[in-house]
Amino acid sequence: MVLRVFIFFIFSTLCACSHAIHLVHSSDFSPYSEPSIGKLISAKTEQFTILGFVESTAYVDDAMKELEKKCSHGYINGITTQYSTSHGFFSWTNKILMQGYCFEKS
Amino acid sequence: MKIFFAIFLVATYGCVVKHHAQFGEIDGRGGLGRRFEVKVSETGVNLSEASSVAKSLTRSKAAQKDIETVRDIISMFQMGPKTGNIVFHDDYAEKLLSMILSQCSSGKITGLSLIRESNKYPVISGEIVKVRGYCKLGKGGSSV
Repeated sequence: MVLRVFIFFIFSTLCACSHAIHLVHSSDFSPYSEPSIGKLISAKTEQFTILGFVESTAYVDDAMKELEKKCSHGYINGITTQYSTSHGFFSWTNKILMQGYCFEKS
Repeated sequence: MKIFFAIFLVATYGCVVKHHAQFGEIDGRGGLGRRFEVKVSETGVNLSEASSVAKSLTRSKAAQKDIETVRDIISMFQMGPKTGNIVFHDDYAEKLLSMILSQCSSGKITGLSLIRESNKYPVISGEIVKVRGYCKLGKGGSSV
């Protein structure tokens, strides 16, 4: 009985929300600019999937558009893109996180 | 002897699995500059191996069956695509851009390579994102 409770406890802790980062990508940093004069911007979008049926198929484009919107009068340097998944009960959420440095035209 | 063998096996067991590699442009004009490396990692857990270990700890058939049932229930809560083992925090790579730029405040970064890999051990693993690059010399001749 004690063993069963112990096993249940161990596995219950493993039952917490789990994630997997599939890849992280970075663009080049040219034209070179000093990061201190730029502003860190980020955009995060998600795609909810239940049993393989997806909610939105344009979530990557949406992240790009959101990032562009945050730096509409300048250029974005060193864009990193993180693609990950958060797991759930017969469902999962694909996530895109884009970050970059925005340099406004002077 | 058995304990020594088990410790030796655990200590020497380790396997690196590459999932993704990416390389950027290389600007060798005026020299590549100083080489830097940034690494972030998180502990991953292999549920299937964990249940196998738990099953090996008991001889009771009923307990072994319980472990399998619990494992199957948990796997229903962890559905979705996986790269490497599952982790319990997905924000461990969010500071990567800031970490890259902290290595090269001039922003003159070239020869960038990003690798997503797993360092596998029994039951657990290290889920790693590794960045290597070169920081070119700044105006004053400094590479920081």
